[in-house]
Amino acid sequence: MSEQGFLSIHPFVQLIYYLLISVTLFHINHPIFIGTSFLLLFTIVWIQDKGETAKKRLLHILLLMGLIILFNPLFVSRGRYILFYLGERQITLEALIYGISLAFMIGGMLLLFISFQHVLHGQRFLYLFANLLPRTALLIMIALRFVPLLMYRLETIRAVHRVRRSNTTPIKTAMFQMQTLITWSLEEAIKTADSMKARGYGNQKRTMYTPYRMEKRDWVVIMLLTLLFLLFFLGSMLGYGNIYIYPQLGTLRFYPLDWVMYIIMIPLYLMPLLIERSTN
Amino acid sequence: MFQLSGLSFRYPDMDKSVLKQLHLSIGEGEFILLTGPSGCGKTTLLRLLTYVLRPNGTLAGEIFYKNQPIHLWSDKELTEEIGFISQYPEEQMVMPTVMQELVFGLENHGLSTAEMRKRVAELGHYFKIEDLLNKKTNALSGGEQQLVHLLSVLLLRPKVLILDEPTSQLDPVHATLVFQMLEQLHHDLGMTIIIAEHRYATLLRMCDRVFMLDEGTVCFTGNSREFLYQLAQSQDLRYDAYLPDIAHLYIKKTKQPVNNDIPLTVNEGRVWLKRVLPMGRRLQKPKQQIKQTEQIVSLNDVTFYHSKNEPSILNRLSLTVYKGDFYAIIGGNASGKTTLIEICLGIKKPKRGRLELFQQQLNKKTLERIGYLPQQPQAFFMYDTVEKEMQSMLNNNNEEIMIQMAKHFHIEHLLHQHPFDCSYGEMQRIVLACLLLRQPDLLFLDEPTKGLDPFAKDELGRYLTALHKKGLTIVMVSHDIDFVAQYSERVGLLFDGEITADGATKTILQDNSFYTTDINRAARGTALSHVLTVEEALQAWPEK
Repeated sequence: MSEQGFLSIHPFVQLIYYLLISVTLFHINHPIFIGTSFLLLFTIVWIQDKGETAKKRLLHILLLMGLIILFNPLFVSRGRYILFYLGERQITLEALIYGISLAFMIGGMLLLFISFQHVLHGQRFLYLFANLLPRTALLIMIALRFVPLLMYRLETIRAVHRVRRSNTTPIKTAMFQMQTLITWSLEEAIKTADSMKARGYGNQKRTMYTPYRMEKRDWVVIMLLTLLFLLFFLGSMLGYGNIYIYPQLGTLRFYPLDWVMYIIMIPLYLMPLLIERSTN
Repeated sequence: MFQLSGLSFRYPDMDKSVLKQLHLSIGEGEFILLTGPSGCGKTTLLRLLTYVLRPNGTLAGEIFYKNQPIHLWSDKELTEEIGFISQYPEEQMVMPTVMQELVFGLENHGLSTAEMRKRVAELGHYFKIEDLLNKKTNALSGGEQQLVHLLSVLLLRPKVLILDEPTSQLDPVHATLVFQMLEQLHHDLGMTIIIAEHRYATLLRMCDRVFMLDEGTVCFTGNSREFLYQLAQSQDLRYDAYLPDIAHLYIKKTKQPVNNDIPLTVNEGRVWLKRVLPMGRRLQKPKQQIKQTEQIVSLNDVTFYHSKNEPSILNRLSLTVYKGDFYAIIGGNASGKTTLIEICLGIKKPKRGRLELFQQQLNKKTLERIGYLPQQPQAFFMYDTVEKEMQSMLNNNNEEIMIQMAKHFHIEHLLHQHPFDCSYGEMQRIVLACLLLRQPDLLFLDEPTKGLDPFAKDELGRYLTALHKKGLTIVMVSHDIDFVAQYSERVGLLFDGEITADGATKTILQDNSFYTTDINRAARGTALSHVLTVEEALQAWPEK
């Protein structure tokens, strides 16, 4: 299972990437910026799972975005530039632009989440979680082990009862089956507890085996990410990458510093792909 | 290592002691085999020796570990010094992946990640399990799980390994694998090993001393040969069930058996048989006709797979069971034995092919004529007493039949107990009794000998023979060749999803070189080359 590229770097670094990107998504509203970030995230998701889930979910996301773009101007009538009237309602350019930028932000967040699920799943997620709450994480891990076991036992019980045929009603039979499942599982859980005890569980403070090590590469990625993010964040605080929408739409023009931010954004967002490139 | 002086133990709600005045000592680096019927106190003794798992009850006498009373050792020290492995591969797994499972004990002892890495790498290399490391624990077979658990315990670098019937849930191939690992540990590292086991024929050549417990006392002890000799000399014929077949035959057929000549392995058995028996002629295959009566089960070109991308589990399998057959299906793990039964019961539907029971399609009526003894009898139970369990199976409230049935299966003393409080063999008998109350015409058994001690196995065999004689049709899936050879009439060899050989038990097994009994393997090339069991050998023994 030796994973490569972005999947192989330390989970902590991956977490930082997702946190930083989600923050940046909230701090820009220029349609070009936010539209580009949506496209960049889409590229990442597409490449990460080879278009499998992206294809299925993209349709849903696009539908949701379309609805937002449609409904925002319908419900919000603030703004100065009136495009046309729909009955009594005025449809404004500001509301339309705001809808577009909101739609891209939400779409971008959803894509980011798909990518997050793809990268930080199972063990990696638990590892991050375990650093926060070690006991709860252990409990989750043990529970994870029990779920398939319970399913297997329930299946066995159902199979046996198919032939056993009881005289009671189906609902009662199902209840009895659940009862058997619980009694049986509790009985077996004692054996699990024994096996934990025999291996010294609860004698002293536990340590956690960490399958991940921070390597030089991970530190480099963190530094790059932070640097790019800080520059970008500073810019957005100064108002670059943003436009005035309400009460009156400001200019969409790109100032020189807008261009600088735009250029910074691309490597910041595409960091997973850059790592992929540099390791191959 | 261990010294027991006058050890007695009694469980709180029982009036008899499980262990009575035990005196024994176990030296460092010894390989000890502990055996005895279920309920003889083996598990209690092993748990007392492990100490952190000691049961609740009254303890008298003393246990010394390394010349110190064991209760003076801390739990942390004990869990590092003494490793314990139980008979339940599935239940003793705690974590979802193999790697996490392996380091579980190390984490409990507060080791650093670097140290854990080092130990896992070292041991993983020694036992060649690198491919298992990233698997999910519930995707492993029982044998692999037992192996992983053994490694997880070994990572703590224990001085003593205590194993409670570690192979009772495994098929013979994996059981041998576990034994080989133990032998390697004993030889290479000088580890002290204490193992309780029923199927110990392979262990006899490895172990230093054997103890047999019965009723809480040591009844036989000595090295392997001394032990077998004592066992054979005992007046109690029940103990014959504990003699490995070849040694059994030797002792029965030698006027004055000598300790050192008792054959322990198939090879030693062959040397002895070659010496005492005349050469055999090439075997003439006895033509045993299969009685073709009414068809009870018939499968025609049945194919089954979980998904199209995976290899099929059953592959154009055809099989016919006739009325009154005692049919055994043998085959390795994952050969599709259990799937085959599930198809017959309609739990899984064949993807292709036809299934007929009693010459009809599977329906409610036919299901009513079937009894099914699952591998885990626990799955059968619904109520909180055995009596209610049996009552629910009665068609008319004729309790007399129920009592008779309970007596027949020796479970009348359990009627008021909770079924989960009974031993494995007892649970199995309860399920059998329940099934027979419905008077089925066809009985399916899934690995019925798993986890049974030799007494219980013999008993089960006798019950099944009696039922078979009464005309019940029995289909059994098993990897216990000895049991199959002794009791079944017809055998089908399942391999790669097909029945590759089908015929009378004798004919099929005589032909095989691996799937056959030890006696048959030892007697190759002698006048007894056709026998499979001790009884047959005794009958066919050429008189001078």
